[in-house]
Order: sequence, then structure tokens, then C-alpha cells
Amino acid sequence: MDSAKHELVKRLLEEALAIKPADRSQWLYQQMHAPDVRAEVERLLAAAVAGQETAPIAPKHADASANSRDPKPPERIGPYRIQHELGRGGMGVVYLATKEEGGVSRRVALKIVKLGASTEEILQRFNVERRLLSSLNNPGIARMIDAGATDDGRPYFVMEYIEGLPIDRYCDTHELSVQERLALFRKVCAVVHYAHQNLIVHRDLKPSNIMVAPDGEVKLLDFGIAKLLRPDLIGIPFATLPEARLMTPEYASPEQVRGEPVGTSSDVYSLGVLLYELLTGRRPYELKARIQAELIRVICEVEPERPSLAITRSCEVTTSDGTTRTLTPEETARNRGGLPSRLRRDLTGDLDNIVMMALRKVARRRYESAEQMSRDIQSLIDGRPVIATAETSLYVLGKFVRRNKGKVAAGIAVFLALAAGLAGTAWQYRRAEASSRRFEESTLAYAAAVGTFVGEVTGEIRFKAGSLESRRMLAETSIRVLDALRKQGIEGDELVRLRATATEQIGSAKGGVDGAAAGDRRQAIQEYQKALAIWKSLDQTEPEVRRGILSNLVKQSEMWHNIQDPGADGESAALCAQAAPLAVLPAQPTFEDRRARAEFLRELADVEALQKHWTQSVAAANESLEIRRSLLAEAEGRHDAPLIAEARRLVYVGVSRLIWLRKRYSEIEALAPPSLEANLVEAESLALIALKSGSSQNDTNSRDWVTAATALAMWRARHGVDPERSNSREIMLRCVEECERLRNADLSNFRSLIDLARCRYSLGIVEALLGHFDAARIAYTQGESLYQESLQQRPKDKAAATGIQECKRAIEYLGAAGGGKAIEGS
Amino acid sequence: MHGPITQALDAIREGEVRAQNRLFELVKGELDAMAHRSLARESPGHGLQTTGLVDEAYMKLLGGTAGASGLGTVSFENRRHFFGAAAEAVRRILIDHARSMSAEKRGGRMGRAGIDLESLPAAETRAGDWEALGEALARLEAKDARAAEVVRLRFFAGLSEVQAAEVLGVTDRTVRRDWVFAKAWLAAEMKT
Repeated sequence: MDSAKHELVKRLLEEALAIKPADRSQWLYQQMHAPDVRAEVERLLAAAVAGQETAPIAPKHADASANSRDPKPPERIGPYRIQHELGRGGMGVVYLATKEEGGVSRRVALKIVKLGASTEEILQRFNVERRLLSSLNNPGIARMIDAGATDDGRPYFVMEYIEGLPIDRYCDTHELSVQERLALFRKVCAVVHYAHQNLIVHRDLKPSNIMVAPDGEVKLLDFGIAKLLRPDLIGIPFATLPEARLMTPEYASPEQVRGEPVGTSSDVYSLGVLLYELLTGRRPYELKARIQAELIRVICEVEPERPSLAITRSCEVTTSDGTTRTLTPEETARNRGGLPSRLRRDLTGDLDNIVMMALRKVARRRYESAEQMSRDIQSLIDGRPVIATAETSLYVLGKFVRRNKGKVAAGIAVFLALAAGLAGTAWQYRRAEASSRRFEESTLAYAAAVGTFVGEVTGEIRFKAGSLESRRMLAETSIRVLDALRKQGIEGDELVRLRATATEQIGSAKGGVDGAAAGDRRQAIQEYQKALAIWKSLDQTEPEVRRGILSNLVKQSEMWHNIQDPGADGESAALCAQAAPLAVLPAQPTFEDRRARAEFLRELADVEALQKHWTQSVAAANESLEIRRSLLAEAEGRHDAPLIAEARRLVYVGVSRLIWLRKRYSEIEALAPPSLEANLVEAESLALIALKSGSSQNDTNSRDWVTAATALAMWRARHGVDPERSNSREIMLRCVEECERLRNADLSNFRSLIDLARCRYSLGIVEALLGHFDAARIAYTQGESLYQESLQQRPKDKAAATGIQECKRAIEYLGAAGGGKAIEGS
Repeated sequence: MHGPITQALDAIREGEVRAQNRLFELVKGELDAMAHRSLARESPGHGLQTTGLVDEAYMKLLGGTAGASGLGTVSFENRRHFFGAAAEAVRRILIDHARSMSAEKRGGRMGRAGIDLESLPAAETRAGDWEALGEALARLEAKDARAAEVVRLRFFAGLSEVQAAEVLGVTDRTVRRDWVFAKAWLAAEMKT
């Protein structure tokens, strides 16, 4: 083995040892190195198991197990009798010890340098901690009592022993309410603030270092890795201590994990993690990987889930005593003396904002001090306004721009510049009292530009995963611009139409239209209703206004029947009845007129079907599709590429709707023209063209194609003839690939996980229909475990629960039929 | 300072082969004496305390501390030679100690099987195990000389990662990687 390979082996060995043992061989396999390299690393890994190494930055509990090689504790250290070990860290061991004084046995905590750890650096740190503790005098910090050295020269010091529980366990044991937890947390803030005023940064704030005595007073422990901002002040001769990267990653701030200099704001961040944990029972991140680069990436880049949202999910938690278990939303709430809904209400809003402000990635954007954070919590308790606000729209949009470089980003940047420019210009003109005509001209020019950009940019980002929030903010920003204009007395029809459109965009974003997440449909309807009122304030004989109202009613109807509540269908029917006269084509219909009618008919087909009006439903679906086909023909005649692409999508939507209706209602299938396959092929080919010609990031195109292709593959596997029939398997495999790509592109996207699970299940059906029973079983099993994963993420998700049942049934069926049959799938 | 140690160190730098042995004898003599004093202090059966031994010897023989701050007048090459010699001396002391133990208590207390590189060198380790480790180290030397040196400095001379990095003139990260590798490699080697 040459030296390059040898170095590679060494690097791989070190990295592999930082990973959970169970994951190592798979990880190693994924690194794709030559077989001899892999074999050597595996041989060394096997040999190293006895002498487990910890990761470069390891949590202290892990390091406790790795280093617990001290022989049994000594019987005595100095005048102290050792009882048992309380804990150990990177450099020292803490024992519970007793000292006889006048016949009274007094309990103390004795910290001593670990055997075999007496390097200069550690001795220095130990000394610093000793001096630092003796310089601090606060009831919230464990008092120092004595210090000394053993006969063999190991230094130790003695602190008061705190009989109590770590703060997280204390809160849960006593089932403290949110209010009580906040009060306790404020005490922690006060102690931390005291340390900061003494120019000490603790750097290792976490529940196991914060004890609560039975009387409810907090005590801060373990200044072992604390940093002195001015070492000279307490007579430490050296200016800087080595910035050892000892820390607990779960509580470490971004600057800390990056190894940058830390200040008091790093402790504010850790306080944020602590508060998050006290409120939700879990930490903002579960850090599974122990690879440094991965830790840094997660801590520095991933936005944690807001507390009010986090508590709605079950999760695995590791408590400060090192045990792991599943925490449900109900238990989380019960430990805080209430119901999940109540807890959610308590956390939503200000408390979310307070926690998130402390957890901001950029140090200077956090609270200035622990005290300021504490005061903000007091304001919240008193019902006064708090400093913490959700990140501003500009900040969030800015992040979106950074994440999505390219055209979209450029569009948003230009828009933001315009929006800012508009406000600035208006103000300047007013100040200069320039002629009102000039003012209005330039303002309107800006407004027109703003409108164009809102339209284009939202169109552009509409189908991107994770864009809902940005779409909403963009729309809200344009409303603010419009408000500002109105204040200046500028508001023409043009701007009112813009306002209506923007309001609808807010509604669509809130309702999750075209988004990856399911939204709040009732909120969406409210926004649509606001928009409708705006539309109606305009001249309704204008074609554009008429279409605006029509499309608004269609959107509302769609939202209603998606709610699937009793009575919702009635709302949809009423809205469609209201929309019908507006959808009648004028004598000389334009492209837009026909398109609006086609959209209306698509919705009408759904609503009629819900009311079991089968003939009317089929008629509407067919007319909608016909109009769409004619629109495509017209677009192709105009040789307008973007228009053709759009029209193709219109046809695709029309065909898929018809397919959906045919499959959903046997009555409609009986009425529709004979070949479903023709519809399926048309949908698949349209979706494929869109997928291939669209931008690679257009996730909606991918999902459309997967849906269309799956439907086609299933139909062919069941009813088709070779070669199409056997080809259905290839189609499904490509679908799985596409779903996996989508899944990997955004692991936080729940819908993509469900899609992948569904796709695996569908592959199973196709395999079974083709007689490949082993392959089918594998696919069903994979589908089931993906659904299980989904259910873990969202315990109440119906699709996941149903999916698991479907997979289980399919597997049983395979077994029962002696591996001979496929279950009837959808 | 121009004591015998400094002279020996300087001579090595100038290429005198015999000086290497002289240095070794001097360091070993000092360490031997210190180890015996340490053994006398410990309760019987309690291990031979080698940590701090080399530090102490360094301070005594060269008038500085081994750590980052007090290296003073000792040049880089000299330090490396010194610690190399010291590690070797400690290894020999451990073997001698193990031999004398087994001679003293023939058939007596069983030694612990194998050597745990993570902990301190244990006094009750059998001489045969020390020899096996010595042979394995020699093979490691041929494969990866620096990794073998890291083992000598870390395990026998009791230096920390940072100190070993100082002595070898590499980063502590490199030392850690070498150390992780060497431990695994030696364990694999000595098992077969």
C-alpha cells in the first residue's frame, strides 16, 4: 500500500470512528474507495472497537463512557472521604465526598484532575476554574470551600454539594407550567448575567450543569471550559488560554462550533437552547452525526423548528441522565400541566419569537445580554410588548435569495430594490415638493414595474419547494408598497387590481396552493374573500375584472371542497353557481377568456361529481379538456414557446382531472369515452415534455410526471399487452428514482417522503402484477418503512397511516396467495 | 546550561553516534532512580506511576518544562532526541519491572493480559506482553515511522497530544490521527 493510500486509510479510520458503530460499514461503503483500502479500514475498525475513540468534539456523556477507565475511586483525598463519583468531564472527575467536622459529617463536591490527564493545558484550565470560582460570589453559583493537592501532586478543589435535580428533570418531575418554567429560567438568566458582568463566559450551559435545589433556587455548575474575557483581572498570568474546542455540540453556538472567538452572546444562544428544551421537552436539533463538518453545517445553517410547531410532533429525546425515549405531544403538554392545544397557544407568537431570537445564527442579532432576554420574558408575562419579533421579511427573503441563486434571486433582488426605491422616491419627491404630475408619473412607472415583478417572481418561484413563505412575504411586501402609495393619495384601478391579486397570492400561500406543505385552507378562504371585495369595488364590466372575480370564486370553491367538511361541498356548489354566468364566453372570446372558462369547468366537474351529477360532471370535464386542447393549438400556431409550455400544462391538468374522475367514480368511467389508456398516455407524455423542457428545479413538473407515469404503468401492468406491459416496470423504476431525487433535494419536505413511500408501494403493485413476487415484497416492505418514518414525523397523518395498512395488506396478500397475486391497487 | 545531557544532545546533532547511547544511559539512569522512588512511595501492587516521570526528568536534566511554555533554551532537535530516548528508557524500565515482578512472585499473581494503550502503562503487565508490543512497534516503525514515534511519546513518555505535536513539529490533529491509527493497527497486529 503506497503512502497516499496509507494516509487515506488513516483519515477514513478516524472519520469512521466518529460515526455510530452500527452505521460505520455502510458509511465506509458509501465512500467508494478501492477494495484494499476498505478492507484495511475494516480490519483496523474491528481492532479499534475495544479501545473506542471519541469524536473530535464529543458530548460529555459519550466521553464519560469512553474514558471511564480510572480505577475505583480513592478512599480519601486530603481530609475528605470519597463516597462515589458524581460525574466527569474532559479533564476532571467530581466525587461526592464528606468531611467530619465537630462530629458532623458535611457533604461536599470534590473535583480532581483525572488520573493520567495532568498535561500542562489541563492543569492550567483546572487552575483557572479554581481561581474563577473563588472570585465569584453569587448564591446561584456553587460556592468554593477548599482547595489542595494530593500527595502525588494532583490538584483538587472542593465546592458546596448541591442536592437537587438538573433543571430539565426538576421541571418535569414537578410538572411545572410554562409560567413556572419561565420564572425558573429567568433565575438562570440572572446568574449567567452575573457571570457575564464578571467578564466570564460559561460556554457550557446545559441542563446537567444547572441544578435546582429543593427550595427552587438554581445553582450553576462546571465552569470547566469557561472563558475569561479579561484573565488579568483575577490574576491569571497568561493572556489567553488555548481555545480548546471542548463543548457540548447540542448547546454550542454557531461561532463556538466553528472555533471562532466567543463572547457573552454565545451563552445567550445556549440559553435559547435551554429555554427551547424547557418549553418543548426537546432540543432544537437532534445531532446524530458526530462528523465535525456535519455538526457545523447543521448548527450554522439549519433553522430550527419553532417551539409551537415542534411540540406537535413526537420525537426521540435524550435526557440529561443519558436515557433515550419517545416523547409524545400529549406527554409534553401533560408535563407542563395542560393539553397540547393549550401549550401550542401559549408558545405561539411571542414565546416562539423570544426563543428564536436567542437562537439566531448571527451573534449580534441575538439578545444583547441574558438580562435583556430575561426582561423580555417578564414583558411577556406582564402582557407588555416584547422586543423579539419574527425575523423580518427582508431577512427571510434575503435568505431565500441566497439559497436560490440565479434568475429567481435576481428577480427578487430587483423587486426589493424597486420596492425600497419606490418608498424612497415618493418621500423625496414629497419633500422637494416637485410638481405633482412628475411625481405621479414616476410613481406609476415604479408601481407598474413592481406589479410586473410581483407577478413574474411569484410565477417563477411558485413551484419551488419551500417557496410558500417567500411567496407570502413577497405578496405582503407589495401590499405594503400599495398602502404606502395610498397614503400619498395614489390609487388607480391598476393599483387596486394589483392589490386584489396580491391578496389572493397571500391566500394561496397560506392555503398551501402549489406548495410542499399543506396550508391552512380556512385562512386562505378569508384572504380570497378580502380579495373578492376588492375586485367587486372595481368596474365589473371590464373583462379583466370579470375574469378576476371568476377566478376568485373558482379558487374559493376549490379550497372549500378540499376542506372535506360536511357542508363544505354545499359552499362549493353555491360558489360555482355564482361563477357560472361570469364564465359564459363573450361573442369574441380571447385566449384569457377561454382559459378562465376552462378553469371554471374543471372545478365544476369536481363539484358536480361530489353531488353525484355524473352526466354534468363528465360534460364539464370534457368541455374543459376540449378548450384546453384548442388553447394549445392556438399557442402552437403563434409559435410562442412560453405560451405553448403553459398551454401544455393546461391540457395536462385537464386530462389528469378527467383520469382522476374516471378512476374515482365508476359512474363516470361508465359515461366517459372508451379508452382510459389514451388519456393516460396523453397525460404521461405531456408531463414528460414538461419535465424535460422545464427547469430542473421545478419540483411540480417532477411530481406531475410521477403521478401520470405511475397511473399509466399501473394501468398497463394490469390491462396492457407486451411490450408495453413489461415496460411498465421500467417506468415505475424511473418514478422511484425521481421521487428519491426529490426526497434528497429537501429532506425536510414531508410531502416528498410520502410521495416516495407511495411510489415504492406502487412499484410493488406493478411487480406483483407482472409476477415478480419477491421484488414486490421488497418494494412493499420499503414502502411500509417509509410510511412508518412519515408517521413518526407526523403521528396524525392520515396518508401515512393508510399507507402502512395498504402495504401490510399487500404483503399479507402476497403471502396468502402463495406469492401468486397482486393486490388491487389504486 | 552545559551539563552532560546538553553535551550529549549537541553531540548527537553533530553526528556523534556514541553520544546517542550516552544520552540514553543518562536519561535512563535518571528515570530509573525516579521510578524506584515512585515505587517506594506507592502501596505494594499499585502500578508504576510513569506519567509525570518524563516531565520531571526533563525539568531536572534540562531545566525547563516539557509543555508548551517552558522550552527555553532547548532546541527542537534536542527535544525530539530527548523524548525519544526517554520513551525508550521508560519502556525498558517497564520491562525490567515486569521481569523482576515475575521473578519475585513466580507463579504468583496473574498479570493482566495484553496492554491497554488508552490507560497508563500498567505495572502488573507481563514481560512477554511488553516484548510483544516492542516487536509490533518495530513493525509499525517500518510502515509508518511517525505513528510509531507518536505511540512512544504518548504512551511511554506520557506526553499529551499537544506536547507530542510540539515535539514532532506537526499539528495536534496529525498526532491524533496517527494515534488513533496506531492503536488500532497495534491491536490488530498483536491479536494475530
